[in-house]
Amino acid sequence: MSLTVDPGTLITEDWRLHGSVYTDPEIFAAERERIFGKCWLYVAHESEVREPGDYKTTFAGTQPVIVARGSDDGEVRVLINRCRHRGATVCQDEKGSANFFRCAYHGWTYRNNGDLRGITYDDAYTTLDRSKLGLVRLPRVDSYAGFIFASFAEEGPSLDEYLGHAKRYLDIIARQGPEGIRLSAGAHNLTYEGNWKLQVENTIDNYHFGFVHRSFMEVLAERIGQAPPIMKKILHDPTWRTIDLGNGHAVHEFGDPETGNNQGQLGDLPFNLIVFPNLCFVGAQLRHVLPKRANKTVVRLYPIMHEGESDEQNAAILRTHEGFYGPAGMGGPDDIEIAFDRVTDGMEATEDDWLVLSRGLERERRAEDGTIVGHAADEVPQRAFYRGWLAAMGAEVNR
Amino acid sequence: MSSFHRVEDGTLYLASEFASVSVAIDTTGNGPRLRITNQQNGAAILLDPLELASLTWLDHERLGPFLDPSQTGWSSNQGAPE
Repeated sequence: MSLTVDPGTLITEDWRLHGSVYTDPEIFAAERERIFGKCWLYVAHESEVREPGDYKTTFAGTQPVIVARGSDDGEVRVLINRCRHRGATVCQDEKGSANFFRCAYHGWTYRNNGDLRGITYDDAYTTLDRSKLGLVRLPRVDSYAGFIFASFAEEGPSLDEYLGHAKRYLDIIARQGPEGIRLSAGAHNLTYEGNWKLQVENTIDNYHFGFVHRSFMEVLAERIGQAPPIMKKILHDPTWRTIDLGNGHAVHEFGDPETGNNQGQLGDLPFNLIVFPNLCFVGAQLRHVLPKRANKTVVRLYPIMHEGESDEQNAAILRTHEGFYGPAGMGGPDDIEIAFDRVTDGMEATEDDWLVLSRGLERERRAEDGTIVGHAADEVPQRAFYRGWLAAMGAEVNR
Repeated sequence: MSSFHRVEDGTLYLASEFASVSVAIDTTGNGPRLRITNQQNGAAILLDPLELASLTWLDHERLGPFLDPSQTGWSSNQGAPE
């Protein structure tokens, strides 16, 4: 769709960001087309569709899809979850095993490779070309380190090129368990009345931790009998770094990316990672951010279980996850209230409608591999995300 | 919703979001057969070992005709079974 505003004017050269980026339905509509219609989008982990006939329902960006492993050929396909007859979603369960799908509205039946297999009372159709009425398949599906991505774009960079410097970190995540990882615990979902980018930015924002999560820090201090090291590390440890990985991706390393630890009882991933546009890793979870409207977002949080570890060890991962991120956790609800709800409320004020994303701009430096490295509490990841955003939205990226 | 359970007489109940069936060994005849009952309408079939063995030769593509609703339960000639 045509956008009446040039997206390049929404971010200044000194990194001020216009509030309409979070609130304008027209910008959201353009994002649907230019970002979610073109980028590689995470849809599933291979452990969720392990066997032929397994399927999962989710969203490729904003659009409902079925990720299905073919019954006879074992190939993973991503099918639009929309009956070709009258548009109902065909599959409802978050996961299941089915070699055929039958729409509950009028009984149209599809193979799990998408082909239309049959229509109820079909004598009423004499000229219908059934071969053109299969569930629509996304043209490109690929996986890296077990993470399955799909794209609505027929052409474009390969997944390998798109992930670029983020691949190293996905490899490390895939090795968290002695025999790999699985998303077998399912997800818990949260919904907030705010823009999807708020969650992605917040995932990799260290600056807020000592403020939004102050009450958790106090509990943590009691648990460990001293001031938690996490804030001191964020502010002063030079091995804790934020890095613009290119293509909108960014990481915050807690020291060595293989062995680091946030030291905050948040889960044991050695870094936080965002993969543009809407895949995040934090604590011990994969976080899938699902935009619904300019001011509505659903987030699915999947605790990462370790293959090759005991049920007790995996249960401990879940308890730690719940302790901070769960609905009654000591961190997640604070992020929703302050980082999403209050920001959305504040955005109603538009007199001087510009945010500031320049923290640490003068002290970030470009590394030999082209990445941009900054301090842990700086807004390098937010700028990384918006460089990717500008490029995807068709603006010149000169900042 | 997917579900699975077994009752005391050995009958198995399997459900997906698309169908719900029970499966049991039938011994009312001279030899054992498998009885599959559609829990949505009570329709049932008894399959003998040769039929079951023959099913294993099929892949899901070739099972397709049975999944075509107009070839089975939803033909205009038959009317609605459920």
